[in-house]
Amino acid sequence: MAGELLSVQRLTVRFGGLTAVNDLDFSIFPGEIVSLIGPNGAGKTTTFNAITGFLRASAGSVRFEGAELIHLKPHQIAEKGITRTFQITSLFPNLSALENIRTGHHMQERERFWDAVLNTRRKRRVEDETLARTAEILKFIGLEGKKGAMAGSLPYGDQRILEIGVALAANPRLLLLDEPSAGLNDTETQGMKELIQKMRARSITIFLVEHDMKLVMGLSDRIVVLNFGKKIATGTPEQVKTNPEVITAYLGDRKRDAKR
Amino acid sequence: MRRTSATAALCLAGAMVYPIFFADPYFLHMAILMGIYALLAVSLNLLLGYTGQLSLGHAAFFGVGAYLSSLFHLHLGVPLWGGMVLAVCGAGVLGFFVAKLAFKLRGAYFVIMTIGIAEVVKLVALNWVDLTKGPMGLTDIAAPQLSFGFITIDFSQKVPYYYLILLCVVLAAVLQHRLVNSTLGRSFIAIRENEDLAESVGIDCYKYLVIVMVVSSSISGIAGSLYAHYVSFIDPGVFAFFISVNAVMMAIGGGQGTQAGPILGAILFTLIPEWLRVFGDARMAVYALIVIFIVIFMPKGMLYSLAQIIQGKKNDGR
Repeated sequence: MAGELLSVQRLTVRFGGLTAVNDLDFSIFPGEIVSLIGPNGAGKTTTFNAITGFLRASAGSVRFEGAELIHLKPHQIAEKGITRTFQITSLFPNLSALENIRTGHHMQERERFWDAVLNTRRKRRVEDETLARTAEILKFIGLEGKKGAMAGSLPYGDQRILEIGVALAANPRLLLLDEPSAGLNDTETQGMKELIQKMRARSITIFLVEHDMKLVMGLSDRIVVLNFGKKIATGTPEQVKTNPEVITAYLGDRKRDAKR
Repeated sequence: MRRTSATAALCLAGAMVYPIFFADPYFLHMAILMGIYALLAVSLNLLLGYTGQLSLGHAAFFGVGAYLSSLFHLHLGVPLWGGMVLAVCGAGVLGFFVAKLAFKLRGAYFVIMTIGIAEVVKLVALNWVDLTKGPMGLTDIAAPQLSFGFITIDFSQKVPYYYLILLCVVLAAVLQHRLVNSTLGRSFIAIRENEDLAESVGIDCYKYLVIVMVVSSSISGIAGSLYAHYVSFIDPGVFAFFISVNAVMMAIGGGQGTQAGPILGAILFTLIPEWLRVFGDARMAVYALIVIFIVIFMPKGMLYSLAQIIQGKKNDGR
């Protein structure tokens, strides 16, 4: 199919004898919000890690705008335009919120070694651009009032938002969010939902792993369901909700359980 | 920010006039050693303090700087200044290859690798007798001179050498300052803080670790070269493990990941063993106790604690 932003084909990841992701196929189109769901241990984060280069896939292909990503390193994949957040909060803890985002902006800064050593005009210009962009992102995620606070000492909800700010600073076209609402209360989850929608409005395609079904159903254009590393369903939230295999995977098989 | 610059300027001014007040050769000698160690500590700080990678093998670069600088002059007759520049490049090239190899590893494995490399280089210096005279060492290493027509500065004198070292320390400090406050420096810090996250926003950690190692090993090479031309005799002792450890101690004790901390560490850790001469044979034991005390009670380094004390006094005065 033409026009897809990310196309995953026959992706397989094995850890020794365990097949964590098995022959997975799916695509993401520009401007979509796609969710990857499944019970614990279904292989969602493994899929994320394989796409972003943190894990070597055992087989299959991952193409982004037609270019193969398998065998690329994480930083090379980031350069192609894919950034991610992590399941466990992942920041630069001893740097301020502002410095965190500024670090995320790294790839946009074309500054050479000698620019830094000689403090050239180009270096200072790059620095001004970076600070302007950083301020813009802080405002976008709503943390401009806390820009001086150490990332590690921010409240948990703000940390999760800051993570997205760091990823945004890298200027992604596809953003992978690994359980962005984990550990957030209802108000914070609502804020996260609005932030994700705002990012999509900025034409960033979102690929989401999430356990909060209300959030998934409310946000997603399409959903991919994994169980034991295999894709068991894909479709709109409505289609997935009524898919018998999905219900079985999440709730168990009533008939089989009844027989026991 | 402005106060930091003012403090730095004041320290520099103090260092500039030091030889006027401490003209005694012993004091000059101590100051020169401090400067050489300061270079080594700054070099290690770039790696340890900013990227968080502990090297226990920096003596390798120090020793290579010292040996190359001497050998270029003694064997090949390269002019002294040229030899020193080549020695620094040589240390940097060694740093490049060490980094390429060692940064496949992290943590304890990396540390062990750096120790191993330093030992290998030391064994080469010890056993390649034709070139290095092995344990006999190299003697009669001349000090450089600088001629401006009718004035000739002879760096075999302590005062000119003191200023040469001071110049190098200032240059190293400025280099460190510029690097830390740049895209490059932020990448170093990102690696220290969270390597996975750094990679995920497009920072090529391996590349930046190699860059920092090349800069760091070059500065260590300068320190080694300056040491050789100062003492005019070197043997494989310049590769000694304690030199690597001293550099680490100065960087951590002074304040790793700060710009002035390692220099402060170099000064104090050179002075303290001298002050402790009153203890006679117990000197090193007392020194060890002091080091333990510093590590336990000033985990962020002496610079941090010093700043706390100064600020605390200010607050009391209000």
